[in-house]
Amino acid sequence: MNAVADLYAAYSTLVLFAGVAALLALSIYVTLMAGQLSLGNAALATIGGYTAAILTKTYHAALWPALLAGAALATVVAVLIGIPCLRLRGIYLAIATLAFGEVVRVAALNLTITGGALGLVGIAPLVSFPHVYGALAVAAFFFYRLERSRTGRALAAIREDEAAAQAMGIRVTAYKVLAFSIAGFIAGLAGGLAVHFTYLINPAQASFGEAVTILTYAVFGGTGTFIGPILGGMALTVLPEALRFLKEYRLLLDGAILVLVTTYLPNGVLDPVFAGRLGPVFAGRLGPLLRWRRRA
Amino acid sequence: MDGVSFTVREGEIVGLIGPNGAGKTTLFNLVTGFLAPTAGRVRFRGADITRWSPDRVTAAGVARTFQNIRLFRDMAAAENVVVGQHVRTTATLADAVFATPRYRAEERETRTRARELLALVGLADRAAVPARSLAYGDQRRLEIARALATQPRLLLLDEPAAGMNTAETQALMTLIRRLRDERGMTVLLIEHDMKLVMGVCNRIVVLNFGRTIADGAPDEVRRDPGVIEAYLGTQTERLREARGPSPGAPVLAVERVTAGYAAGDVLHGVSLEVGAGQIVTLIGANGAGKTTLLRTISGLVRPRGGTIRLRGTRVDGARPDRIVGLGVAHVPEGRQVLARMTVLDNLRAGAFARRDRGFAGRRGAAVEQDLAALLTGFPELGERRMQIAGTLSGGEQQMLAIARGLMARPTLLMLDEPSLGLAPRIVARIFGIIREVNAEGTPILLVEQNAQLALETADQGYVLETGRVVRADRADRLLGDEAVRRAYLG
Repeated sequence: MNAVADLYAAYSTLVLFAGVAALLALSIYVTLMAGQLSLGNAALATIGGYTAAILTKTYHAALWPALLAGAALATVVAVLIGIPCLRLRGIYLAIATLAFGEVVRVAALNLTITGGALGLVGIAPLVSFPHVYGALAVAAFFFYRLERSRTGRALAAIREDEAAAQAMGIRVTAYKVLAFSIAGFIAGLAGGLAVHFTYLINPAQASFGEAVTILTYAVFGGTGTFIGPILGGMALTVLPEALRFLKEYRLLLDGAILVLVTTYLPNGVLDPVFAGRLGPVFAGRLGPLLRWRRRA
Repeated sequence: MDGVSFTVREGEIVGLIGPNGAGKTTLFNLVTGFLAPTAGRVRFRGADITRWSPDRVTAAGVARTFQNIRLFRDMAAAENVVVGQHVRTTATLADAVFATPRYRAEERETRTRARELLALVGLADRAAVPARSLAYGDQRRLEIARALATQPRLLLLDEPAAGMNTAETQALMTLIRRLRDERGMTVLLIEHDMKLVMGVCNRIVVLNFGRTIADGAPDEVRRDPGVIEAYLGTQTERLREARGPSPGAPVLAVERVTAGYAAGDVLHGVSLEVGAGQIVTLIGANGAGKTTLLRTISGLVRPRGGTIRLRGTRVDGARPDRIVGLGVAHVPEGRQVLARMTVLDNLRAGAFARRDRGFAGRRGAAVEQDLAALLTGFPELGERRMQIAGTLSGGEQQMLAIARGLMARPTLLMLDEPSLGLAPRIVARIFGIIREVNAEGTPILLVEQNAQLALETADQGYVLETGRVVRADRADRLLGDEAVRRAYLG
């Protein structure tokens, strides 16, 4: 037991980062479920992070009220952004949401309350393992049920064929806005959690690079089921650390892994077909989860 | 659409027919809210549903299928039908997250209903198969089951029998009758298979150029001169003598070709020849396999059997670019001009496969000469040489597509439905061009809905019915032939 405790002590921040990455990956996954490529999640997480940080730092609020306030504000912003942006499709939606991220970054850079370019530092160390992984467990359970619900099927129908979904009586815009708001809530919550174990936040967290990183988590893990983004987020957070011995070649290897995954496993590492090839045990256990969409 | 009015009474099965481009699918889109009319009203059971959104129309009790099958392809067949029940179910996301009794009961019911509906259309054993993996006819039936899942009062079917074989069509007819008799459903269907339309409908409405041209019982409509004219074209004066098959080696020889798509064969042992300097026409109803044959000749579809020879060289199974290189110019259905490029650039693109097209920015003199000649020969295009092709009218786009084909100096020009959606005056001009091009020596294989016009223009004619040549003769002998009328109107 001591060994585990030592290991956790040495890598605790990494473990927490992995959990936050999984949450961020879920936040982009929910819009992908409805076939919408939205890249505003880093900015939404930044909004949640600043809000929670300001509340605990300046107003000495308790952790959970601060986190929920951050998540709520990110949800509201996501809906406000979502309603006009959802008229756009495909690459145009991606560009518009990226532009939104830039707006958030520049706003954080210039506002007094966000601490300008330096951001906020010295945020109270309030978050530890139970917070992050408790939130992740609840989110995972939520997605497990969502994927088996009328709502989840409506999102999947929109992704598969919007016109056909409409012909089935699905109110496409309402469901897209719903997906956006869930994405906002989860991203805002993840942002709030992160700042309370990194102790700082700055405008760079809403940058283009961060947005793409979040997308990479989901793509790497696969977007067939919620397990993909969770594993993708964790793997891509831990991998760079595990490969630290490669020193300067590390980023090169990261890049190579991504190229290989997107080329040979376009459905992500958790592609049901690929998982099936790994052996009957793996497919037998995870199979039903992986194939939820094909379930009769 | 131009001032169309008609009614469908409760419990009726009404057929909506008309040549390609008549506006049948547009009418469906207007009723179901996918398009908004510029004028006029749509009423459903007394309520004015004009300009309602598609989801509201569905909720009100109107369901539809799509001409070009729009299933949720990655979902299992049963899952598709479950989604169809969306509008008749109420469990919220919170119900699902907390797995409330309401959610559990509803999940059970939707799955039971999905199984029932799949059984009704004969797909009970395909429930777990992803929609994408179903055979074509099964996909059509699944679309019907999915539409039924919305519990409609009125069912709109857009070409439900397209791609089905005879037995499947028979089963579909039984199903449509059962829907009316056992479930009190009202059905409005678009269909080109006249056996189905005549066999199952109480009443038939005929559209042409966005207007209603007939409305009555199947037998009246079948004999209506206006309808026959809409389908087969108007009798005009024959402008040139049909020459029949030409002596000597054929330019194109298709022998016992079998071909099709993943879902099944469309062509069953088709043989056909185009002689030097001839116009050969291939006529037949929608879905007979005309376009597939052209696509097989140009290498876009790989034949599963038989041979295709171009001036004696076997080309079956060859890549499309090689076949273009051998001089086959294919002007596809719907024209497919390069919409964002200018007229001139479209024409230059047509010369891409020529060896004398020039290189490294130097334009080949021969190509430029041909270009100048075409712009003179097609004054409509000459005037608009710098216009963006996508902004041309339908007729001008058709001329451009033909001219682009000619830029390749083809040894065989294949035209797919050059009259599609064009007004009669424009059609006459296009066929004038076809005759001129042929008079200069280019052999032409012409696929055409307007059988009358095609047979008046051609030397030799082939009648295709469900992937088989049922008649081949000198074009003038086929004019007024009973087999031709039957191929179109059943």
